[in-house]
Amino acid sequence: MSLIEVRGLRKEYGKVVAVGGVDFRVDKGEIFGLLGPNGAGKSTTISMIAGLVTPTAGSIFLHGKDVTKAPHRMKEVLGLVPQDIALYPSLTARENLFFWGRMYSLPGPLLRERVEEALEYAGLKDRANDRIDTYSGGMKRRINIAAALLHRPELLIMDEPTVGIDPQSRSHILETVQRLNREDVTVLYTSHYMEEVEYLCSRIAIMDHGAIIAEGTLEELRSTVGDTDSVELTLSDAPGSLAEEIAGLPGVLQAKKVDSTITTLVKDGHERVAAILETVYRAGVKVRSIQIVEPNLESVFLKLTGRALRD
Amino acid sequence: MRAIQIALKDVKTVGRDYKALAIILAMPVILIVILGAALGGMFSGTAMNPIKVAVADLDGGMVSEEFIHVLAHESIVGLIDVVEVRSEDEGTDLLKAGSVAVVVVIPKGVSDAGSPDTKSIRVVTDPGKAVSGQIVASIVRSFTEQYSAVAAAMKGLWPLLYNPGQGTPGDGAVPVVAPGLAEIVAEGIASETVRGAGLFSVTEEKPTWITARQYYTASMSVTFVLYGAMLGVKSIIEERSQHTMSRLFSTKATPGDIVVGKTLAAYLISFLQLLVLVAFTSAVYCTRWGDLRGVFLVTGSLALAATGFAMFIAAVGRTERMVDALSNFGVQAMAFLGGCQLPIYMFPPALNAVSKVTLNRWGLDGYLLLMEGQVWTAASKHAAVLAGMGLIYLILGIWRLRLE
Repeated sequence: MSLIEVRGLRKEYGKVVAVGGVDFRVDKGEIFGLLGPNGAGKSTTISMIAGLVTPTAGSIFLHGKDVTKAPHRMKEVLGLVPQDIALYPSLTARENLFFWGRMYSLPGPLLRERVEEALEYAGLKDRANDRIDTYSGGMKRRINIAAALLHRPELLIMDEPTVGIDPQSRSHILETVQRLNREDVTVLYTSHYMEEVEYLCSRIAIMDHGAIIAEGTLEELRSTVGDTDSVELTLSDAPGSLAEEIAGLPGVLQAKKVDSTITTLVKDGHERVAAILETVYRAGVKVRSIQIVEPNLESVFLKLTGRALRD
Repeated sequence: MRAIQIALKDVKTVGRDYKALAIILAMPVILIVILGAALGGMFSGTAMNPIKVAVADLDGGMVSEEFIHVLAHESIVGLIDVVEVRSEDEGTDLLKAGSVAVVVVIPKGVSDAGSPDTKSIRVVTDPGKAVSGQIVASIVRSFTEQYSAVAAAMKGLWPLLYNPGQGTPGDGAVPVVAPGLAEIVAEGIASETVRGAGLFSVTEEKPTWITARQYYTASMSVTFVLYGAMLGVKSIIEERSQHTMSRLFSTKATPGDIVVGKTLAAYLISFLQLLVLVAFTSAVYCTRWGDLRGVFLVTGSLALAATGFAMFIAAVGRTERMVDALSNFGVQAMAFLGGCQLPIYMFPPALNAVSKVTLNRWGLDGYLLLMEGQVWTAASKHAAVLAGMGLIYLILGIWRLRLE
């Protein structure tokens, strides 16, 4: 059963189309991933769902009921983790959480209990009375998430929650998302890190240029690429013509050069890698590293758009 | 309830911002001392230090007699210390020696003209005591205007009256002044001209002086409360830039909660700021603020006016840079026009009239009335005007405000 569903959701800013009419649904109890490069329209889409931005067209359904014109109903079930740290730097973590809890109208004793719980989730109970401006980026991110959990939302929308943080905090955040999901919180997770989406999400929609270009489970999306592997070559210096030369080899479906890296989509990568390397050596270019990656979201995105996610 | 929480959070945030506290509390406290000391010479002085005025009576007629009578009147005694001299040169010598601050010359023949015009009595001032000169010039101007008015009235009425001591109707001997003119003129000067100068007033019992430091205590409080209110309202812009505004909108907080919360925050910050300044200056500078009920009344209204002004600037400015520029210009312009930098009596009449559209003028006048020893009801008009101005600004500001 779908918790939320969007149909034909569109947002225009003057002549610029930020989101060009997207359709998807998020089922109750799942972690739904919205994957796409920066500027794909993910944040605008979730801002419309959260009632922060008014759609130009389209509808948003909550439990099957149209709430497009009643965003306050969405706010009752929603916890939003914004992409940017949205906390008061001169207040302590505990003061911030108390404030945000009050904004959700949590009464005194319950609020105190939830604040302590949220601090525990964030793993920052021992730093609870320190000002936010003394925290590292990762610690701020954790409190940023904790502030959205105080009212135990049915739906948690997380907009790029791991941008610019250390591996330890990233790992903590990913574990928190899984733990929340086990506690029956439905999660809509946006990211441009395909590893995170692959790791967390049961279903994924890939966005590009304001449109959803693919949607399904990880397996379903992988199957669109078939038995193709992605071969990534990091070179000392890659002339522009080299990617074209590699693309002409038998079994190579696509070759794309970004900086000194050439990413190729190849049928049976392990068998074709020798021919690719030979072409590189003939061109007099040194290979710094080579990686054969089995079909993943990166290769799906590459196949669908001709670009890498990080482009 | 959420609005109150937003307001309390903002007050707490400002309370932890040491730079902001330095601007709204430390700066006025320091400026009061600096301006009070630096510009004290512009003021007449204190109760122990009246303006010494040399009067050269070359006329010897009724006008000069009445003028000296006015200066010696009990309503003005303590304010003016008259030294009679025989000639302008003698007065000038005393001026050069620093024995007097001002020389008043009543030329020969002024009384013969019937009534003096405003330029017939000359005032010579020590350039270093320009304000004393302006006060005395103001008294002279007031005297000549009132004397002339009474003389004209007497001339018109005389044919209808009979006064055996002065002659009979129709014989052409028209008295120039009526008995008691000096009292009327002196009290008029005391209550209007001198009070208009905003420096001191005369109560029924005795003259009450406002010192330079007192004046600048009131004026700096009035000026800096605008910065205090700006801090409260600027949090709207800060919330936009630190992304907490979007988050607020994702909670149950409504736009109404946010606007009321921000308004309340600006009001609380400015009201508390004024109370701290009143308490501090009373305790440390021994400032006599006057009737506390009146001080609370003016403070409450002034805080509302400052809040409205700040909300209006934040709504018009929108970006942080624009709001900073507009608020700095607005606060400085209103401070100057409202008499918070230079006393109002130094202004030409047109500017004096313009100053009445500023919050500063009404706030300053309200506080000065109380400092003069008036009871709280005397400042109720000022409080009402301030509250009215504040509400107008607030309504315009909220109307123009865009939270996102």
